[in-house]
Amino acid sequence: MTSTTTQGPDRASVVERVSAARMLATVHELARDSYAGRRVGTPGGRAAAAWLAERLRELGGEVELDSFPVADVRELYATPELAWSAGGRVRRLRHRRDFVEHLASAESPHPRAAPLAAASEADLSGRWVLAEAGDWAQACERAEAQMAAGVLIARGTDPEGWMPKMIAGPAARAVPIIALRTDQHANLADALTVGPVHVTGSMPLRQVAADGHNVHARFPRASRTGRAEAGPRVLLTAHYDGVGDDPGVRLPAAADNASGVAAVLEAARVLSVSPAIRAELSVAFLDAEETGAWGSAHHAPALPADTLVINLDGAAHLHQAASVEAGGPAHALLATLDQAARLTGVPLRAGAMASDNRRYAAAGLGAVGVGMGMPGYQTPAETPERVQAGTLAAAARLLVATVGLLAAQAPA
Amino acid sequence: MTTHQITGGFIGDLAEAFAPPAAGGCCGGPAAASGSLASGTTEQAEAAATACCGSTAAAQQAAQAGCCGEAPAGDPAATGAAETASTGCCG
Repeated sequence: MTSTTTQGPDRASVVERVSAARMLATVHELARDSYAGRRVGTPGGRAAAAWLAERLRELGGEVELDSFPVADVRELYATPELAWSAGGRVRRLRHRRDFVEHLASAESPHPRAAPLAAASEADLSGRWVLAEAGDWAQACERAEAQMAAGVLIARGTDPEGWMPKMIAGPAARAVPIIALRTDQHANLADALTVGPVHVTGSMPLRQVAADGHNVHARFPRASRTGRAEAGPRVLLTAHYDGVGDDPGVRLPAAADNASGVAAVLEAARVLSVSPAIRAELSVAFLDAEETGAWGSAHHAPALPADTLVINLDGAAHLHQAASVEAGGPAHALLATLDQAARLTGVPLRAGAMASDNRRYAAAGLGAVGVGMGMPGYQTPAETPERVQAGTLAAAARLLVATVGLLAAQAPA
Repeated sequence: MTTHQITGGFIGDLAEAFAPPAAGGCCGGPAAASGSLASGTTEQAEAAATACCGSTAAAQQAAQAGCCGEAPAGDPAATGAAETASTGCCG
């Protein structure tokens, strides 16, 4: 970097080059029907990877797609059914509103009709078991031992009444397990105190293996200046995978994490045309975060030890402050992020960011995870219309400013 | 959101980012409980990472502890899903 590029006004002008409109367009693109929620190993996921690779090539990046295996992905291949009857009245419940798949459930493609029993009852054979909160594992063990029809447990909802979708979890049990909304669970318990209750339920959930595809891009300095230059090695990451659509129902995954991808892509665009910012910049759009951060686990061991990682997971709706988690030798990186946040007006606070940043930190790299909100998290309500332009702009500016400051601080 | 310069930057102690408060003890609790990832060993850091995102055994423990959208034991409000949403973990 030349001496003039360390000056505040120059850096500020670079930061202001981010385009919220471009980022919103990226979010809308990745939320399209054709990507089907971008679950790892699906045609939609691969299409998203190809689209992102092309965008990075357009920016002048040296792009590679890196494949890796992913095991035990939960796949819901049909809409589960759940109904119960008591006193001659039948209640049909709605998937993802009234009940949802439990990730430890056994596969049960066809509805099982059976009487309901409280978990405290001695005879559970052939019956659905209503388990109390906190003892589902014990209830499952008894249900398995007695060949019960299945287990019903209680679960909360998000503030909008949705039951978010997950696709990774504990090992599958031998019985179907269905998570009921808390009040529905209470209704069943109440009905059981009055008289017999019959339950009919299916859980078409299976575990599948998949191939994940990370999209990596390097932006070598020589391609912009005509000569190789040193600089801090900075990796910007965001996962592009989602939990995938439900059968017949869209889960656009706009906030988690099309928004983060959009901000990283925009930061890369700005930095790639800012030759004065002297940094060895790389970008990784990661797959399989939703199945346990396997994309970053695959990627992290291959990186040089001095790589500084900034992972963005959610840039859709900044409330009071962005959440920041640091790991590994990230003290200087964190201080620089703080400085960049002051310059760009982004409030930060410590908050758990259980995402790909942890994989990089676990590999011994300095890594920070940043989160700026995910409205509608992993539900059909996670639409691109809920992604705020101002938050996208704040995220991209923060990334650009951080890389700029890191470059300015590096020894010549 | 506000972009005024005065409002930006870290609220609180920067070092807290190395052991951020876990949301409801869910998905991230192991990392918080183990203290600073920076000061721990690589094994500790790996354990913290996989406790949330990779180990099925740990995921099962987390589920039993009220993670991954489960209703926490003794919590009739059953806000586990919202907690999960705030941490973005458990898949």
